Amino acid sequence: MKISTKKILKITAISLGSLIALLAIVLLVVSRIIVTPEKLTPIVNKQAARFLNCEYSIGRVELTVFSTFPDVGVKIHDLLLLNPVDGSPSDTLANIKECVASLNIRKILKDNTFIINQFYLQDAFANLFISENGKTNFDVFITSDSEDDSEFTINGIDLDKVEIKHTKLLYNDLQNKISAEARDLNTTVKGSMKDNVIDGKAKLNTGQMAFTLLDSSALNVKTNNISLDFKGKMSNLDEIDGEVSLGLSNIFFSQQGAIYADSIDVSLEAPLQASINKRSFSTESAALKVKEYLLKFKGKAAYHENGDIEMDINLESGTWNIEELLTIMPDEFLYLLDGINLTGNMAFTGALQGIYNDTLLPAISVGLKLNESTFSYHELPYNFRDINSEVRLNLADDGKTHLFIHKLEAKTGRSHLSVKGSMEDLMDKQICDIQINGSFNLPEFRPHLPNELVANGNVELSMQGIFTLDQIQKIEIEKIKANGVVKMDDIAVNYQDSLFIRGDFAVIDFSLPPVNRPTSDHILSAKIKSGFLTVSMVDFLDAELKGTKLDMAISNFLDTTQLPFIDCAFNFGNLAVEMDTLSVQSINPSGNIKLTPSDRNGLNPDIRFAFNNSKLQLKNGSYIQGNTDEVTIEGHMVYDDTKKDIILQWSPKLNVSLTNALINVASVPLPVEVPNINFGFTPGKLDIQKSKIILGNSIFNLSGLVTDLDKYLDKTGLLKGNLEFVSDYVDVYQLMDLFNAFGSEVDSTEMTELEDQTDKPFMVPHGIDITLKTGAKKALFKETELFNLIGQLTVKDGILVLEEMGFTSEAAIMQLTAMYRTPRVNHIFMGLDFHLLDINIEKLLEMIPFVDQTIPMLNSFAGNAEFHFAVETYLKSNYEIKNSTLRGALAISGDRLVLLDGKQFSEIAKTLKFSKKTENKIDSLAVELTIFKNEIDVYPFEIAMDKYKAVLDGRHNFKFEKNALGNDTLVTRCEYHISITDTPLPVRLGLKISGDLSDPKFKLEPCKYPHLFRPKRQGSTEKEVLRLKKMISDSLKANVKTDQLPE
Amino acid sequence: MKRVKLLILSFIAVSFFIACNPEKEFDPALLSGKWKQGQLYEVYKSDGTGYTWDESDDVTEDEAQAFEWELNKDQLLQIHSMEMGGRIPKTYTITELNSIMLQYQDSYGTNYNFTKVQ
Repeated sequence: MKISTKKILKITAISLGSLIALLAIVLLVVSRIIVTPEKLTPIVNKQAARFLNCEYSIGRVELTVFSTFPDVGVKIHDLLLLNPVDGSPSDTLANIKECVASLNIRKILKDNTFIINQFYLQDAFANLFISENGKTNFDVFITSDSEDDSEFTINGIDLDKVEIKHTKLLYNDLQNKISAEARDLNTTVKGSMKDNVIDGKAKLNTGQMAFTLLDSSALNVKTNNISLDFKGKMSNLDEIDGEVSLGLSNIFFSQQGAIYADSIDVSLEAPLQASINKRSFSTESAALKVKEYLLKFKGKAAYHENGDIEMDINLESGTWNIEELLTIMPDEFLYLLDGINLTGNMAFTGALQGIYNDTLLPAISVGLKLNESTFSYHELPYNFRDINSEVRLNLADDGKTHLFIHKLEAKTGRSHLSVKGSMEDLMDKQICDIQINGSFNLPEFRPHLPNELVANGNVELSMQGIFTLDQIQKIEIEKIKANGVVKMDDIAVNYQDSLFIRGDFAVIDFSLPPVNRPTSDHILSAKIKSGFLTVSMVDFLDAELKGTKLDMAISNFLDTTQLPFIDCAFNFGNLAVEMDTLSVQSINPSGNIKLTPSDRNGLNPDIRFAFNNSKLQLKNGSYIQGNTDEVTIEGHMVYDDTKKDIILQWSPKLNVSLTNALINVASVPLPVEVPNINFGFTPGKLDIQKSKIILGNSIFNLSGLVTDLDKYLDKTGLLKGNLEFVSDYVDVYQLMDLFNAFGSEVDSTEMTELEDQTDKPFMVPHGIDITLKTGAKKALFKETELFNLIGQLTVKDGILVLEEMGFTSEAAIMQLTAMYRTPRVNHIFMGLDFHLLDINIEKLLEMIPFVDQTIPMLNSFAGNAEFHFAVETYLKSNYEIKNSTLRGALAISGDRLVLLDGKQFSEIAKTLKFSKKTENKIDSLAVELTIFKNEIDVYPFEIAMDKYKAVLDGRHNFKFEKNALGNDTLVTRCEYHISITDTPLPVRLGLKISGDLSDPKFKLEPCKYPHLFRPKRQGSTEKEVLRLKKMISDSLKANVKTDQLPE
Repeated sequence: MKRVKLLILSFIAVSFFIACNPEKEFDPALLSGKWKQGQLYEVYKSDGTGYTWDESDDVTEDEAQAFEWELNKDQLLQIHSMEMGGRIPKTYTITELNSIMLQYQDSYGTNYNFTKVQ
């Protein structure tokens, strides 16, 4: 309390006491000397100067005995106090028309007790003024500290009645910038004082009253009437116990020009206990009414010496109609409700408990109830109805504010929301413990969704969560605790007319953190279940999912420093996906996938997965189409962004099991059936544990290892393979035809080398070293059946080698080595090393027509022979032979052959004078020939037949020439010689056979080799010829691996 | 009968001529080097090896095929070894060999005329 206020109270108390003392003096004078008013008035005027230090005048003073009987009263008329002070609106301090006080004379005389029984004041005017420097105009009574100044002792005051009528009061405190005015002040105080207990009642009634703060706040309060009733006791001039009734009508309240109340009636009914010394009060049940709005409160408050205000107050409102309440809301606050339409009923309760001072606030608790309310806001596209809420705001004495939502329910359209929970430490940590239940009709939320998004369907939400608003704002998901269920029905989503999602239902059961978290890193788990779901992305993807079940856990996916941990088990009834020309349909796919950040780089994924399904169909346009029964895949992939090749980037480790697959590949004219295959795959190794493949007429098992794929892709090593091909039946020619399309693409830099730009020669891949060990019980090569094929096929760094393939047929035991090498696109090497042991010549020519073309005379023989043949050449890109590179050698040997009686033999026999009776049996035959460029040289060989022996050699030229139509045709010319070395005839003749083989010319000539096969008569030339024959034969036979040939 | 006599006399004459046809002898050292006939090349090395290629078939020297050679008087023997294992002897009779020219023919009358490239 400021000094001026104390001073006012002090001055007021002193003034009141002095006034009473003045009256007592008058009474004393009267009591001792009975005088008339004419005598009494001057005396009083004179004596008053002892108490007043201002200009004054007393119009008339008279004693009243009868009107105040049995007491003696003093009546003063026209009492005027003048005390001009600068700034005061008037020099007048007080102007009292009439003032009466009655004194109990008996008490004065007998008990020397000064008792005022009645005090009456009428038509008074008071002007209390305090200047800016604290000077007052009412400090006019002379006070003395000496008790001897009075001969009387005031031992008690017994106010039977105090009445003030029609008084006007002005109060201006420039120091505290307060201005107040009360008009027509009427007060009645009645009471008694005994044993320091004042028992009485008081009434105060004013006309207009105004209160103004002259500071910047410009607070202005006006009321047309104040009605105050008090009834009670005051003990020891301190403790007050009574009942207060206060009424204020037509209150006007403004501040800084803003009107906060106008024409408001306020009333207060309250039992009151108060202590002046303790500066405290309490009430058991007070009722404050602002217009018709009732506010009950009870409690107590005290102002302590140290400035603390201690309070314990409880408030409770009635049920207020919000619309009506808003009508009395000040315009200054109404702007806050611009655009808001709020209806319904509200009630609130409140409590203040604790200390209020500069640093402390009491604990404040405010409860608000809304019933059957509606709410709308012009910027919100929703009209909420049926709002029922019960919330409480607690400001604890520790300064923390807590909000408790006991109930908050609202409906809008076909949606409704229900919230329960609390928010602790509202002003700081904002810890929320919320339970939300709701049903949302998605079309109603379209205004809140992006324009590009159209969503239909219903969503039901039931969730509870514990989090802070800061965690929500910062999206610190790892710190949020929440769980709930989201149910969606008849969902249809359209995003930008490019993404369409439709589903009959979906249920998402989520928990944050996970209930059974797989690892400490997982912060969210969700179980997703849906019925029928379609996803369509225009021009990209169409997917159809049935019976989807996902059980997943995920770590903090907002952490940008590393990828999230994801653990997902999935199960679909049916999954169908179409992307461009690719379509996949999977029946009952299930499995799990675990994604973790890789150890080397947290932004790269480490994926482990297991997948299986009962049926799978796959189609990629017309390129590939396939379907399988059960597929099982287990995999582990770690992404490495430092690698360039996609295989090395992912480094997949797979274990694949597949059954009953049927695959159609456009480039392979026959379907590929895979009854079963099990393989493991890593970039370092493809391990085919077992497989069964049906390709055309062939059925085979393929197994083995392919290694170093990583080195191959990294261009640091060869792709190595060691595979085993086991078959009961192989159609070799069909397989060769199938695989003709495989091989490396022609490099663009080599395109200029092509003979024809349409050429697509088979280019053996470089960088691989794969060996395919073959074992086939039965094989078909064109129309020839082969048995027990044993050998291996090797592809090594641009070279394809069919190595020492041994097999048997009905015609022979065979061994084949073939090599195909592609050093460049227009320079392709092809070589054969072919051995047929015990071959039927007719079958041989049938199997290998080339032999018939190069050794045409062979078709004149019948029987079994041994055949060794090697040939090699380089080819152009169109597989045309480069004649200059053609090399070949052939050796045929046989015994007990039959020379067929053909046209050419008859011509030869006739020319050489063979006997008609001669049997065509040939004891032995050993032919060697070489192929060099377009020259086929048949080295001299002997034919022994009955009494005849002949030696035959020659050259056979061939070349391709353009015919009249411009096509390449094979033109063959020969020049053969037959020397008759043994004959019954006396002359040894020679025969030259030349010209086109289809129509040769025969001409006798000298015998060239009379002694070639007669060792005793051989010269150096003959020996050289035989040496070369042996060289050819030996070099060919050296390649026969008899130990590897099938039996 | 007269025809038979003439035939016998001719045969004897030819045989005598052939028998008395003296064999030439060429220095193998002259054979060393690169020889060219059109786009056909042959290279003879002094160690008895050599290689040949024909550019008309789009074959380069690096892609040439190897052979071994022997020269006995005028008989040139080329033995072409195949990668697939066979050996192919080709025998020619040299008719001219000097520092710039190599001529040979086979027993079927096919002639080859090379000039020295280097």
